[in-house]
Amino acid sequence: MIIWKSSLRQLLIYCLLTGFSGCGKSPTEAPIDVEQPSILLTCNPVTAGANEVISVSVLIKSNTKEIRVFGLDMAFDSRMFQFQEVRKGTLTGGWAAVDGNAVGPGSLRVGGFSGGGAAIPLKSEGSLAEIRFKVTGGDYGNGQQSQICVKQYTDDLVGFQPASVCSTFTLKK
Amino acid sequence: MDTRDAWNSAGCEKGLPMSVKVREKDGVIVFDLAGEIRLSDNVSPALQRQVVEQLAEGKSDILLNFAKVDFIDSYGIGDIVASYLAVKEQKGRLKLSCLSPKIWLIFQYSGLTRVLEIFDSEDKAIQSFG
Repeated sequence: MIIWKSSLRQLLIYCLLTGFSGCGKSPTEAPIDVEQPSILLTCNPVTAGANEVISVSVLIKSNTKEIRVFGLDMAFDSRMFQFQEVRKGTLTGGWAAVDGNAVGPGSLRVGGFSGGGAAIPLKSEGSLAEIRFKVTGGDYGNGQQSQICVKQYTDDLVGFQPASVCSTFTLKK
Repeated sequence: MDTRDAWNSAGCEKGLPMSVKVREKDGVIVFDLAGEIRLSDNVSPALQRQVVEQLAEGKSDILLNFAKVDFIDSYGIGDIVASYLAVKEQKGRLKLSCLSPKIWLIFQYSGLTRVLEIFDSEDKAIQSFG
């Protein structure tokens, strides 16, 4: 019994002097996993031949405020693609309008506003818009890659990351 | 007494009701709008009706010239949106020109500037139809 008490005392003294292992970090040092509002571009299909139509979706997730109106600029190679139309996304089906206007060769301004439709709630995940292009291919050869990018987010997309995002398409001939 | 009667009896004068003149320029139907685009005694959507009439005649490139528009309310915004959607449904194009700074702000706050093509001048707008 005496030996046991002595051992326990020594262990307690040791722990007080050295600190308990695993308790060295204060709570504020623990990593905090907070998702940032982010934007992503997908191309479907990622490979196609001339005269085929591809759909580029503007996807968002983890928005930290409601989205009622948005705008963004889209850049593409006008030798590879011909702009067709903009359709509403999975998150904007009930909105008054989602549309795109060509502002020059290879440049498109895409925007939408909810009007009487419901705002996109916080922490949503889905698409804002689907932009359709016809593949022209120009004089490019088989396997030529081309990027479609979005940037300059406005209104309720301000602060979304990354500031510019692209999707890569490959021409099939 | 409804809201508008109360507004009038309070001494708030109504402005000129909207007037629309329609003409054609370089293949584009131009609506010269003037006065106030707002809820009037005639509650039917005046602008949308006239736009639909043009669409029925196969004319789907339409420009709304706001040079002489003094005021637009939420009803007017709805009329513009309804006109825009009617044109889009027919695969046409509806654009706007010559908005005053005040009208521009209303469009901006409502989010319409993200969707509609708006030009400083009628000539630029006409050219954009190509």
